Amino acid sequence: MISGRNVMEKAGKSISWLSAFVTIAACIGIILFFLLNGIGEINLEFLTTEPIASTRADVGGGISTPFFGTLLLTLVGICFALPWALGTAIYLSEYAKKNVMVSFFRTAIDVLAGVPTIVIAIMGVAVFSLPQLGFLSSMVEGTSANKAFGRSFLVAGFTMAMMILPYIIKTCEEAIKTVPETFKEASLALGASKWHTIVKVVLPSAKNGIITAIILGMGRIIGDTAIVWLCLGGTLRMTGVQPWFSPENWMSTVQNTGSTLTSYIYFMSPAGEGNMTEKAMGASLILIILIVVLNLLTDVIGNINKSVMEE
Amino acid sequence: MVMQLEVRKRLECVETDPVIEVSNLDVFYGEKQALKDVNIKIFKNQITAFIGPSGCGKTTLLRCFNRMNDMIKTFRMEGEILLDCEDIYTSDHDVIALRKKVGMVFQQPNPLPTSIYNNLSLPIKEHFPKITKEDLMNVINKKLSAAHLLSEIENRIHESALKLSGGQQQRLCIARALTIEPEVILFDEPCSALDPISTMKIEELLMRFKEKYTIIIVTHNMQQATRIADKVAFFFQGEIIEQGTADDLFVNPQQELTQRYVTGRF
Ligand SMILES: Nc1ncnc2c1ncn2[C@@H]1O[C@H](COP(=O)(O)OP(=O)(O)OP(=O)(O)O)[C@@H](O)[C@H]1O
Ligand SMILES: [Mg+2]
Repeated sequence: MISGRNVMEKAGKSISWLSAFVTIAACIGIILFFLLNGIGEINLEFLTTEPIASTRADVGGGISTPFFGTLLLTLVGICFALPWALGTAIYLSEYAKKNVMVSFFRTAIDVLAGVPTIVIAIMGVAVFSLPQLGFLSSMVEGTSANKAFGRSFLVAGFTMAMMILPYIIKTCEEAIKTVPETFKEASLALGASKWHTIVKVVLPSAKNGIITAIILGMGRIIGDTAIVWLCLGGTLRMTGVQPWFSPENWMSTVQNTGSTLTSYIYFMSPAGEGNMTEKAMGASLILIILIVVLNLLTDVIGNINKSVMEE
Repeated sequence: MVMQLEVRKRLECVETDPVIEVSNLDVFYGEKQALKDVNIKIFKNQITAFIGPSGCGKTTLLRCFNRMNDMIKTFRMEGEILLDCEDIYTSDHDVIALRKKVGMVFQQPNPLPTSIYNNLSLPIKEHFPKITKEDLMNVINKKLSAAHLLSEIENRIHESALKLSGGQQQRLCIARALTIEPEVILFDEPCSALDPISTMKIEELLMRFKEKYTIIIVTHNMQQATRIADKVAFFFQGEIIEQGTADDLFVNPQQELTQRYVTGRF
């Protein structure tokens, strides 16, 4: 009996240790794989030249526009998502009463979190092809159909915002809920209005949680492909007025299409549409580095949080 | 004409009558009754102490005065509370103005997790949106020195308020309550988390404050009540059993319950 229990004990421990080991090994394996295969590709030229559509690697160019595309799309997506999610989170945590409407609302948010991004992407294209929303992309020219192009950084950013909304709302709401009641009481007892209390006391106290939410959302935008593919379009270069990076052309840049690291990888990799494995590997490595940096940032913020509390 | 009469009547009332007058107050949390038929008058420039065993409703009454109970969903009250002869529980009463008139210091020091400076500048800026930087600093220094904290923290005003000791934090909270220029200040067991020396410092403050403010303090400490209170009200199970001057209550209690409580045989 006793030895039987001992065996169970040992087996349980071994299995859980093994699971943990496999997870860590897989993670390190992926990073190592891309490090070994991609590092040879990475140099200043690769990072700073624009990609050129070609089947020959020596004239294929680098990843400057996909890299900035990723950053730009992330920025646009967060700019749309943050105020929207924060407003919703404030409503849910501070104002919403417990009733059928609100619980329906919460369920809707959960459902949205489960919708595949390709479905959200199709929605995005459908909605933003409406001619009334043409100012977000451009109008289709040369046909009699009155239709917007429905693909641009603005469109993709907005659609990304839809995708990450549930996660940001949830994380922000948690952050707001952990602000101690005593802080709010302190402010209200001084004659501050509820809104003033939220803005000046609650949100600053929930700051780190909110930043974590933003980083979480950034990670999801950086990693997504379906929305990029459908809502940003299938070009490698920035299609706005050139040079796309000069300040007076920024509006045109965000109204037009481009690529991100994920769509670049798809175009380059033989698994997708290309024949340049090395470039795909290089871009993958950069993508992974971005993700790792974001995760480190989350940890750093967690530590800052702790040290502030201990101060 | 009618208006003028009203105003004159209110002015006379403010001159002679108590600052706060509670009549026939019943308070419920859901089905549970927390206060029963409470009647009490609080007078200007006096320290009124609420004493009584735990759970008898002292905090509940205190938080009725600045309507902090409004946040509790199950809270319900009947009866009347007048502040400067005005009913503070009418539906159109300005709660924010009320809370600027009736400040509060809580049992646990509750500075916000930011600098000392921000803790004080936040309410001042809210109260006087157009204040200049210089005036702001003057007010902060004045209030810190009124709370006898300035000399201890002069060089640390931009450091986190959470680095202060418990007693210093509580005095910071007192300074913060002063920034809104209240008439009445409510203290809910302000010393219960503090050591004897910090307690003494706060008692000294209260004694000086009563020249300028009206003070209501909840305390479990009989000696403290004896030392500082002008009036005392003894609560038991939601009712005020006895109230009067501190001398009356502590030296000559009329009720057996009061006597047992103040002599510690409870
Ligand atoms: N938010 C609340 N919801 C329900 N009941 C409450 C609430 N707050 C207080 N009560 C109840 O009301 C009664 C009076 O509470 P109150 O906090 O006023 O007592 P107190 O005299 O301040 O006690 P103490 O000396 O322990 O602080 C208690 O029985 C308490 O359980
Ligand atoms: Mg209490």
